Amino acid sequence: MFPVDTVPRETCLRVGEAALALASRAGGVVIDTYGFPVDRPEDLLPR
Amino acid sequence: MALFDHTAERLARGPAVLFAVGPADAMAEVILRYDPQASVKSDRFVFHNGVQLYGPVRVTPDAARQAGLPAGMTAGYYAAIVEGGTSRPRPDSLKWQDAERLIRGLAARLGGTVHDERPAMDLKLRLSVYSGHELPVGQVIEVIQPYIDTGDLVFQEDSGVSGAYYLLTKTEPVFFVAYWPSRVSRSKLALPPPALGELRDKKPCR
Repeated sequence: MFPVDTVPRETCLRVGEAALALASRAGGVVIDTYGFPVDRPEDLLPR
Repeated sequence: MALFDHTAERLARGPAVLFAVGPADAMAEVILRYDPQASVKSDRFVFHNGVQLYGPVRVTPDAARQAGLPAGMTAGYYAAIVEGGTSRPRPDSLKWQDAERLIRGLAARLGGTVHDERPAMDLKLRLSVYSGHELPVGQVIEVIQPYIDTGDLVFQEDSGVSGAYYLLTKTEPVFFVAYWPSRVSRSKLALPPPALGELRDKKPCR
């Protein structure tokens, strides 16, 4: 597993896309490592 | 809130998030995303996982120097927990973990700097999907597999928790999925996060 602070950008986006696709199918909500909801893969990238 | 002795001490102890320029309204928006049912006391936000966030605390250069804070910061927030307490108390150690996650999440979203006298937790990239509807494992694989380029997901039952299972690839980097049935949401060790709002009370699967 990748440390959240140093995960490569592409990995971050890919995992985010997979989780959002699953949430869409299950009618669920994606929550990130920190406890915040994720609406789009870019939410996982540091500002 | 101005920085005075006790506040400076708490800010210096952490976990705290510091800003060169205060995030203003963006902080309130992010906090309501973290817990839509958060309440506001006089000097803090109170969340449903036993974590509290104090601030904003104004940081002057002199106060920052005295408190050992990084230079150039003008505002900060620090987290604390409600110790013991409720009818279904969670271990305080778990609340402190949530407090650190909150602070690091705020820093990531708002461009802040984390300050904490304790060693940082080794947090991994982990996304959780909470839902009130359980999907058959075949559908979970069908949805996720297209995003994976390290081989097919392999099913593995959890030997200790009935109904729980794992999906993982054999090739590095391993893509790992864990499924936990809804009853696990009732465990005080694995309570759903406040961000779920009303879904939290429905004991979702994860």
